[in-house]
Amino acid sequence: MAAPILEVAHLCKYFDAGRAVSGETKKLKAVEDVSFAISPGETMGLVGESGCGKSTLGRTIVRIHDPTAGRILYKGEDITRRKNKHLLPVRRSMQMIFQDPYASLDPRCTVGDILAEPMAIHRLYTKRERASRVQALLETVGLKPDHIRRYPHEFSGGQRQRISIARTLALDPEFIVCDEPISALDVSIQAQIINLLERIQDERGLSYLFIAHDLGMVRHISHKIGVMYLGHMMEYGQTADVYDNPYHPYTKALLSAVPVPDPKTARAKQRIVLKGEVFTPIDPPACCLFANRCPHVMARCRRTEPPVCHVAGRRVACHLYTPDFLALRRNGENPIFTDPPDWRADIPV
Amino acid sequence: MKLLEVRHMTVAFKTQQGVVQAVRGIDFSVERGEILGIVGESGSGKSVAMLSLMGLLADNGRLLSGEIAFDGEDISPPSRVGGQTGLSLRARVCGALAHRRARRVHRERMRTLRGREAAMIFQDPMTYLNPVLRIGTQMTEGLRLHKKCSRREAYETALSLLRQVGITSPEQRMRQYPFELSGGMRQRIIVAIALSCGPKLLIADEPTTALDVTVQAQLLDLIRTMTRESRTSVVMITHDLGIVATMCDRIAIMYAGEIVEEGRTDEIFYAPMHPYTVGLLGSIANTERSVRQALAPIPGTPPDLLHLTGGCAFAPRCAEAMNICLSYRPEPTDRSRTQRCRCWKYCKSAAQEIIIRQQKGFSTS
Amino acid sequence: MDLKTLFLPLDVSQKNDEFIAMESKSFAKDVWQRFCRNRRALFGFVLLSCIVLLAVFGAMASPYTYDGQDTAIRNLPPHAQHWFGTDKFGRDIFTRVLYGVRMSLLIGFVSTAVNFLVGLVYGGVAGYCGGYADMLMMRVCDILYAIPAMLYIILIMLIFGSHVGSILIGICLSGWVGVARIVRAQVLSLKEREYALAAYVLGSSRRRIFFKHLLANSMGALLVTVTLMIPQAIFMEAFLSFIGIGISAPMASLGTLAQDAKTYFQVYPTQILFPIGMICLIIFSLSFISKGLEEAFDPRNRR
Repeated sequence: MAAPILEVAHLCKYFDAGRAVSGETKKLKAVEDVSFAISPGETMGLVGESGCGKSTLGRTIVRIHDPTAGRILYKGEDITRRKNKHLLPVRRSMQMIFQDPYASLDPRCTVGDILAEPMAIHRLYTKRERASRVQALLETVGLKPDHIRRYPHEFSGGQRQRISIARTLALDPEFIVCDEPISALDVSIQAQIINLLERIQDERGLSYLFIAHDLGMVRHISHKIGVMYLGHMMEYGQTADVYDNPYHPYTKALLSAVPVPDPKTARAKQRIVLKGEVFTPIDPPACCLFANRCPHVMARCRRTEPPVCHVAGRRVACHLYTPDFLALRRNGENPIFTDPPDWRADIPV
Repeated sequence: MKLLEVRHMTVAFKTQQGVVQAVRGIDFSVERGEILGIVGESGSGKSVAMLSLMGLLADNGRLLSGEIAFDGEDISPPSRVGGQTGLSLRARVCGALAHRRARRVHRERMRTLRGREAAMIFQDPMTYLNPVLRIGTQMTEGLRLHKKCSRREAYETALSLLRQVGITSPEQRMRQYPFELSGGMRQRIIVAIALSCGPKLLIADEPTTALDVTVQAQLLDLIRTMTRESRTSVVMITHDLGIVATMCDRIAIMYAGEIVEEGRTDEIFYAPMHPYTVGLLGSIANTERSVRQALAPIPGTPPDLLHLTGGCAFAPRCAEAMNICLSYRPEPTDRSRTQRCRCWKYCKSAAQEIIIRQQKGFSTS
Repeated sequence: MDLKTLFLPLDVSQKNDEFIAMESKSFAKDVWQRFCRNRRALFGFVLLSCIVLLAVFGAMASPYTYDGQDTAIRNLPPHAQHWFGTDKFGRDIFTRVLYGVRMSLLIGFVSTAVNFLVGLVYGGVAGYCGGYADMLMMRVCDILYAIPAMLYIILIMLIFGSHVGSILIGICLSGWVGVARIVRAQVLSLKEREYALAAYVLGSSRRRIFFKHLLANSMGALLVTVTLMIPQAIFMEAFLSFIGIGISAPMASLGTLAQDAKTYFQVYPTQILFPIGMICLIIFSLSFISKGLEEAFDPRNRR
């Protein structure tokens, strides 16, 4: 396997969330100890509910935010602490697509200006070359050459998102963070954008970090998937494995809750309905953050943070998959946790 | 008898650029105890249709025509008297006054209808809840107004409703303000408020779009169980085909202000007629699908409602478009007793008549 | 009609599924068109233009000067030779009002221009740098704002004497604080907009983002406030002159004219009506323009 294009190790990002009465600063732990790697030509999906830190993670990787701790390696180079000035070569090959196509294009610039801007920033190409590249970019994303003099507000949401994809492609990047690129779009347009992203990936061998909350689309587009909950990576593994047989109780609940666009399957589907409210990410307790909603909660879940367990090529942050717990389980030879047997009695906690 | 029957509803908005026909002659009906899903993209007129049904249109919008029958009662807005020439000034003034009176009566009727017989929930719970009033006050308000309950009775009813929608320690919640609760809890409270007066019809306008998947599942379950028990009809407006597949008995697909296809859920999903429906189904990815299937999206962008031409609004994006689609509007064709669609593919044999009728200037819409 | 051809597949060239029906317009053009469509705003604009033209050229064309006295024709009511009548020294009030308007507009426009530039730079820097620099710069603003403006304007007038320059200095000394605050707020919110972030991720320097994206986009809100600052300055000058520490005789400003006429108010009411009416007209037209701009810039009116 080729060396990963992006490697993230134990990345943390905290925000200040005001001061408590005692005078201590409160910390909003948006991203907590997240690690993963993306190979060239690969797509990693990142799912989770709103406020789980997936967008913050994406923005920290492209260094809109400065990471609090951990390391980001891009093509083997450590860019965690690099100053903005020295990031310029990295910025050329690492790009980002934003969620809101209505906010990510400057309303005062024409499409031509918007597409030429990246080249102007990096002082690439002559004026004529830029113009012909802009035309080529428009064609790549399926827009017409005469759209070049139009302003963003004249386009529909899907067209705008294609313009912003074209902008990221202007510098021939190798890695793109897609921060919910389809969630603001209509269903029929979402598929257009996904197909476009896939086509570009096939043509140019790009890697994506694909952040979304539409689990169906993530399954469709990504090779690997990370499931986040309150800043933690709960489960990380190959997409098909995770979808077909989720390990973490949260992943199970999440997948079971997705409405399936197929009436017969939908009627047959068993849902795990979660009870309880989500913890606040401001100064969260030092225990499993899913403990208050988890159907399989044990006493130790409420006391200690679960370690990251390596099970069958996957990483799961859950006490159910710690080696000692797996050994304690009756069917110890089968590491895949399918249905909770009567294991509660076994565990001295 | 059907609970709700809407015929030829047309709604237009006045904007700076001109008049936009947001809803262009739709017909639909809701049976008692049925869940109808209205699916469409943004700007397809699905919300506008429901808002005008409830008499909640914005100031620049007008229900131009349409007959609405709710529970056997005609609740269509009074049509404007006009167009008659040769009337004396006196007659015209009297007519205008009568029209104003009729509109006031209609407004009053709609006001009692909303909340008591038909309730509506919106996408954003914060627009529905007043941020400076306690939950308890807001929950009992409708009960006291419509059911003429005493303060004590209303409080008790509200408590039991909160328990029904699965809210823990309801006594405490009644004293809290909306901002102290999570989004899912707020939306559940809104469902409780909406159902508090025992309406016959619940209109849910994208009730779960702002919510997370796990909370969404909870809320959908709640809406389904609570309405099934009381045989309340539900109109579910959404763009999520997953939600309609799980929730609805019947589905209407809207595009550019028209219902292009309607039918039972299974018919729509397993035997779609209209090319747009086919395109929508090809555009979604399924979490349960193990084989990676290529998506077959609809090309192009939705039409600008300001610049619609005479023909089928979907024609510019349709893979099966024919010459006729650009100039003449297709009319509904039935396939079964429950499924029908507006597409020239299915009304070739009636084409001659339709064309002549449209050329004469009166379309059936 | 031939049904057969009607049911043939549509030619690809006729589909045009990426068609945009809307006319293409730049932002400035769009705002201008919407401003012109607003009748009240257009009225304000035309009125102000007339006043400005009259003040600039009318005074030149007038056969009288602002200080030319003629004791033979004291306190005349308006008539054919002296449209607004004459004052107690026999000076032509029409000419004096025009000079007064000139003075008021000069003070209004110059002070606003200075405040605008200073505020733009100061607020822009504070908003863009953020953090401690922002905190420090904003506290300086607070301090300046906390001192009553009247206090140091009077002090300046006493030290430098009563002329236009010292009024301008007085008004500009703290007037820019309001602009700075608005610019800062705008920049702070625009900085988090996705297009600014996108430019940052593309490798734009902070300066480039500031000048190319943030400044242009904050201009709308700014223009609206600035048009409201002009009447403020005009009022301030008129007030100072009215209480007798503004422009000194024989120079005319709308404030001094009103002050002069005040004593004869009950005998010759027309003398005070003309300067006051002029102030009203200027301020009306400016607030109409400001309202019109606000509506034209409002993103909700765009589609």
